Amino acid sequence: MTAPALHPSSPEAPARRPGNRDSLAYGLLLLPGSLLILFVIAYPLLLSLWNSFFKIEQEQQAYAWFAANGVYIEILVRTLLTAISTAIFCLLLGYPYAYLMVISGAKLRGVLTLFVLVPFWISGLVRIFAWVILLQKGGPVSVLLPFLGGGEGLLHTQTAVQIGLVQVLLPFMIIPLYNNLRTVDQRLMQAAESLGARRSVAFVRVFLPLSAPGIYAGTLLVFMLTLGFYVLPQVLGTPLTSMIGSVIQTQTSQLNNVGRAGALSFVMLAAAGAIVLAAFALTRFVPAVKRSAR
Amino acid sequence: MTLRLSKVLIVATVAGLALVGCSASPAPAPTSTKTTVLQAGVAQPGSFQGRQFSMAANGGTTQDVQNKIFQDFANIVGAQFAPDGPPTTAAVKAQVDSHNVTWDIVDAPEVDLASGCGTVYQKLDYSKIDTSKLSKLVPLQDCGVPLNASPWTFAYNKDAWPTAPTSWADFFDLKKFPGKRAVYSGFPMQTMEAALLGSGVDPKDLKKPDVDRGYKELNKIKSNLLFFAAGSESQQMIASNQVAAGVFWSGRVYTELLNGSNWGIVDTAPPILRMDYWAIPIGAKNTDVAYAAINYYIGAAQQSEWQEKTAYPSMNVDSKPNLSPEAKAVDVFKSPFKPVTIDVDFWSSHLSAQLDRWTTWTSAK
Repeated sequence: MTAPALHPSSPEAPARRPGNRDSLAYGLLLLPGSLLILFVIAYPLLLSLWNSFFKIEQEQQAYAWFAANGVYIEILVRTLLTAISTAIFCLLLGYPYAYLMVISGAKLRGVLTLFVLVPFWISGLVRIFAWVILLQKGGPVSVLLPFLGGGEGLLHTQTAVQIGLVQVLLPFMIIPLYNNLRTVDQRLMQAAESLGARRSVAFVRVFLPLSAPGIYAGTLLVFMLTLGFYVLPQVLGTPLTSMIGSVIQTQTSQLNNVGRAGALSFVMLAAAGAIVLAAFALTRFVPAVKRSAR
Repeated sequence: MTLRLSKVLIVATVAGLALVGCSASPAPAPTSTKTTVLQAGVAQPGSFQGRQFSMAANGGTTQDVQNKIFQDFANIVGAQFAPDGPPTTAAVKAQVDSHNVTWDIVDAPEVDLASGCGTVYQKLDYSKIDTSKLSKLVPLQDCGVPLNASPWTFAYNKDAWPTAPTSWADFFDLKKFPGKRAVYSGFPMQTMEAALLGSGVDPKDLKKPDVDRGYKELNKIKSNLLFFAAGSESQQMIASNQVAAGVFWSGRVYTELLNGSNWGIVDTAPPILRMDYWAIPIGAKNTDVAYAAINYYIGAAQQSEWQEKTAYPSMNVDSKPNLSPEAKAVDVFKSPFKPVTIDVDFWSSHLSAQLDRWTTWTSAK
């Protein structure tokens, strides 16, 4: 750091390019992980796909069954919408937090990091039941904030599910965001301000676009993770707020309908993939992001 | 160091394979050729010396007691006992389909057992089990011996309703008994029977249930209906008086009575039993030990221990458990309780379609 950096956005020396022998070594290093993915993810996934098309259960093809029962389409749409809203809320709450972690001193940063990590030490079910007690009728939230939930408490509402999901998933937004934000050179903001930009303008035009990779990573992670939740929406919500995971679980472990479970999973995977692709396509039209993603 | 460790591992693996090989051999043990069956609850000392067997159940306090009873059996006969779980239908089926069955005894719910009888679970040879003292309230199945009857009861908050309700009809009467109710969200069985009883169906006529009629009855309280997805959640509803009443599992009500909740069970509204069975998966390696262990499990003394520790009813009519007042309040095999069971054949043959309908109904406003 003593030598003046020539390129402001990359103060560190550029990484050495790997030679041929290195790439062989890298390939070998990739092998165990690739084999694991092949056998533990790709194979079961393909098997499920096969089952979803060719396994006839209760004299019905799985996708025909899915199409004939409107409730499952409803639950699928609800799951996707919940995942989108959870990602947005986590981003809105997580971004300022991660930004504070970057600009704060070592001591405060330590405390802030601890707050993010502590929830991981507590069992997921315990956290859900903590929310049950907090949100139920006559619980602390309904006593302190009586205008919420109309005297009946927030428990067993979509709001309760949303609160629970955001709390559980917030660390998955903050950690990738923080990792990205701390690599953004703070001096760029000073440079922008010295050129006459107001601080807010400098933030929106300079800092925010440079943090786009962190936003992508965190949002994608939270979105995908939300899709798999099913105990939390059942306990904090009602069957009216249930998500696709509980239906898949019923089809697999209660009914042994692996074809139907596969169909549900693949419709969801396809829908989620389409949403992610659409989101990426959309960001191409946002000029600030486009510039930073050179 | 690592070399030595890997050697140990190899030796252990070979030994393990040898053991599996031995126990998998089809030659029946000499005890299984006996013509007379031992009385339920009796085990012959040393009869399975050096053998092993495993049991899979659903954990919690119930499995603690089950483990203890099977361990007692293992100690008497000289076998090694390995508790495990949970034996979800999918897990048992996966073991059977892959011809690699590690469980000898599994806890199977009534409907799953009926669906998988002969394909996942063995048809039992009842000449090897003394069923003479089993309660007549609990039906035997071709593939399973009753291990537990979880009574789904009409429980209510005594503070909410000073006049006690007397029948399932009251559960579905919002005018006479206002307030929120809770039912289990996972499947329609038992709740459907409660609705049918509420609509006036005779307890003897629950075969081939009229599901349309049941939904009509359930619709009467839908505006005041909450759902619980897990037993612990229902307990929380009782403890914090979130609802005025519920179709609650007696074991959960019992725990909350011990915790001091002012709740009661309507003993004149027939509890609907949800049965669990001991079953032997097809291809189990220690079937002979499993038979003897199940026969021991349903003895009078063993069942007394079961009821004393779990407050769930004893399967054996000769049991004389020593019960607390709270446990007596949920002792649904005793008068005036008149428990009923569901039509397992109906539910097992229509389960998929009925679950679609239940999900559709619970997911609509």
